[in-house]
Amino acid sequence: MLAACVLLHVIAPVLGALFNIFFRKFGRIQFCLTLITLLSLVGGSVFALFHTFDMAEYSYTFGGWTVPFGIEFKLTLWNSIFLLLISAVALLTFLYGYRHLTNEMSQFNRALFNSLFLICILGLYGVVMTNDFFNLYVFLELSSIAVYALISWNLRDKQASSAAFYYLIAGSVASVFFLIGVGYLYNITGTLNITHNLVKLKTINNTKVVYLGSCLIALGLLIKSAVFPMHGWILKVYGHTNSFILPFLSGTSNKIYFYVFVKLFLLGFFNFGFIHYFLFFSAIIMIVWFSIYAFKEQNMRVVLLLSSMIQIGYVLLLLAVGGENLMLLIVSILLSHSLAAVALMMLISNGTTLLPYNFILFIINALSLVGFPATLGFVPKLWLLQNLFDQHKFGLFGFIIFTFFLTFAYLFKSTQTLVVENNLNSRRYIFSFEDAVVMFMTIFNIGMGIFALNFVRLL
Amino acid sequence: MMIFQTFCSAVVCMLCFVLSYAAPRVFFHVHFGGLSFQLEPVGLVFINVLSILWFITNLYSLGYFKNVSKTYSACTFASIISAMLLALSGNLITAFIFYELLTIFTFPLVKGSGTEQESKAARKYILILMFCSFVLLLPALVLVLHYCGTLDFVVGGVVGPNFPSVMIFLTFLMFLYGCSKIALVPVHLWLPGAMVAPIPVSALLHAVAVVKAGLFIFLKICIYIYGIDCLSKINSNFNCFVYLVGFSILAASYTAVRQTKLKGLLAYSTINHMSLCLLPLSMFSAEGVKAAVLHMTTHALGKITLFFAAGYWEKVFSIKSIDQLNYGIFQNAKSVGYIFAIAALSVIGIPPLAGFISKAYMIYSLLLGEANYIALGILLLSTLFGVHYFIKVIYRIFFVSTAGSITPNKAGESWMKLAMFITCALVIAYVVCLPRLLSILDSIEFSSDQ
Repeated sequence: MLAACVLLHVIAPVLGALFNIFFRKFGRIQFCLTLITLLSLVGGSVFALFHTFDMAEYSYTFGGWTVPFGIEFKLTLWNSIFLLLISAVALLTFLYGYRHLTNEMSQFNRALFNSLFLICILGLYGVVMTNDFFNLYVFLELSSIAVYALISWNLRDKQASSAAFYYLIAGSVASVFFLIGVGYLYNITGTLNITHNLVKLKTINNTKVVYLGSCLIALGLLIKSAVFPMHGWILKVYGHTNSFILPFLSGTSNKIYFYVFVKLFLLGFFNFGFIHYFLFFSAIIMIVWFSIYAFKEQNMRVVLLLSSMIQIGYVLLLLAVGGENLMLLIVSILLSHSLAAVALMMLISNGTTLLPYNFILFIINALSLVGFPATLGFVPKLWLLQNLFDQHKFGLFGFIIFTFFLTFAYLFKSTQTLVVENNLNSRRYIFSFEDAVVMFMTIFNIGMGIFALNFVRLL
Repeated sequence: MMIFQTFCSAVVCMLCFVLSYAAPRVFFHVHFGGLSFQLEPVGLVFINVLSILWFITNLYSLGYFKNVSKTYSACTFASIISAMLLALSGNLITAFIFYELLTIFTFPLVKGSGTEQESKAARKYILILMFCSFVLLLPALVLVLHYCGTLDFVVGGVVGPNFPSVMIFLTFLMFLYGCSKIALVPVHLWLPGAMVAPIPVSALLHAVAVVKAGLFIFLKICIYIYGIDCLSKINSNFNCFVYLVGFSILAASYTAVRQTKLKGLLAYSTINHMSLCLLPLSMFSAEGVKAAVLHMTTHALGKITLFFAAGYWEKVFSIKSIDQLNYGIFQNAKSVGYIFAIAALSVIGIPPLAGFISKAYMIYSLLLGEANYIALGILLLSTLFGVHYFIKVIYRIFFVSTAGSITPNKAGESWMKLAMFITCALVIAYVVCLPRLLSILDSIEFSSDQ
């Protein structure tokens, strides 16, 4: 069954993309096809999550070719969680934004857009599941190429094409670094399988080539994750992305690449002395600088992107400091932020005017970003603080606490600006389907936040 | 919406009366996953105070406001419910959730219609409260969780031998200033600013619900997280708590004396009395805790009456400053003048009013065991200051002659007067419910050996 699940994750988006093109003249069939594909992906991810919940790992090798000769896909608990994140965010983004997409594009263009969207999802799925370096590169490129096209597709912003080109350059540089790094490691170890690489590296003495290869792989992934100082592209690119795809990208794209980096880091690939210092200083600069930048920024979209990068800063700090249950901590921080950030991006996108009742949803999701108790953002922050205190990092403990307050301050300031711009005295009492989508996400956020209170003590 | 709220508050009020007479049989402690709810004596007293004063404020609001916006009604309702759920919290996490929700729901009430002054006050309000919560309260919570492994409210406290004394002391101070809703000097600045809100909001929330919520959560932490015995041992060599609280009392009293605005005077008087509630608590004794709870109730009754009277003068005569008060105002509304005077005398602590009973109990708790004469001196000095700033107002009402003509706007005054009569009657007849109140407080379990 799990084999079928893995195959479903690969085949369903491909077929969905293909049949979208075939049915390019039938708008409703396109919608149903994409919806069914996304629902099947969500179902498959949930199935995979149930089967890997007790930390069981499942390995699938394509064509029966055993490792290290064949390509291996792995389903672990953390992989399954991220697969669910990608599919759920994709589904919710699709449901939320499809009406606007319909208004803005012709049926044919919509078919192409849906196909690219599904290919992007396929790429991200592959990046998460694969246990093969070169395969990782292939899926990385696959999703990137789809994203370049999706970003450029913004009829309301003339700078979208140049933003897409900018991302093409940055993304290509990252991919090339990654590929060269993989090449160096392959040259030394003779294998592309990640697990086998790790085993072989322990017996190899040629540290300079390994060092270089690992650095290049890390560099490639960190560029894609927009980690300081390789972050310059993200605001320029996402600032001009169309409002359908931006919630999806802000919730998944750079977080998935960052997850891959974290996975490789925790496996022990980047085991060289200066990396901890680099991660530490990067984290501090990201948290401080981006908090100040967010405080001065008026545009809510940019503020949300900056908050996403600040969460990555927290994770980098965790990687630098170390501790127990790191993966649990990191995944919880990234997931909780994704859910709230996607909901907020949806609310402020599509030129939606914030009206009184969906402003309440906005406030709840903003409070989740802040780490308000009883929202999903609270327990990960509590765990982060407990981890730092357990490591006796009292200075960092105080610093992080202060940054939580800074998060509140800049979100509060941006929300005030949003209230003034939207003039919340206007009234509209028609509850739309889009509002129902965001309401579902918000209720899920609060429900999971209350459930997570069972686990306030870090395991 | 106001009628619905008034009806709800009446129902809740009756329910609370029933619960107080059925106590201690109705005490419970239930868990819903990470959330925990508990009805215990201090919570029961707090919820009674909230429900009674919520009902009375709704009556007052029916007369004060011509039209009530939906945001105002919804936020008031949500604030009171948050405060009540805080009263029913069974662990520190649940208390923290509702404590923060109270801040969020009261923010739109302070902001009001969004004028520049109101927006500035609202910003100061939320930034100070959130700063203290994030920077002091949250880390204290994390430290308690780290050393004790749990945040449940347990009889006798959860503090064990693993918790170093220095950290107990440090976290205690963090909780003291982290619960900034108590408005201890110097984290009090949000309260005078929040007085830009309309009188019913200032009266119910900033004189009753919000500040008492801060005091309540701190009391619960003292009794059920640390335990009175533990705090007593920690502070046995040098009780700096008395000095910190004493400084706040005297600073607030001195600032109140210098106030020219009526609302400002009442705000600083609130800060003074909230710190005064902590003074008997600094004895870390059972009697001290009971005195703090008693003073919480008497102050709430007295202060809300003062606010109602001030609101009446503001609405009917457009009086905001103390200098505008004169005998002519009194002549136009004698009952309000008398009500203000009675409530002021109660807050000062003149017998046989409510305030005297709680102050007498406070003195008793300070003299019990190892008498703390410094605390007693601070209490007496604060009372003298109180006499000064309230007598100033009473003098103007009764003895300063009229200057110019007065055109009152008496729309809705009957509801306002009804609310004031009820609270004034409670201030006078407080002694009637005192035995029941004391029997509820006697059932507080301070140690698991009881």
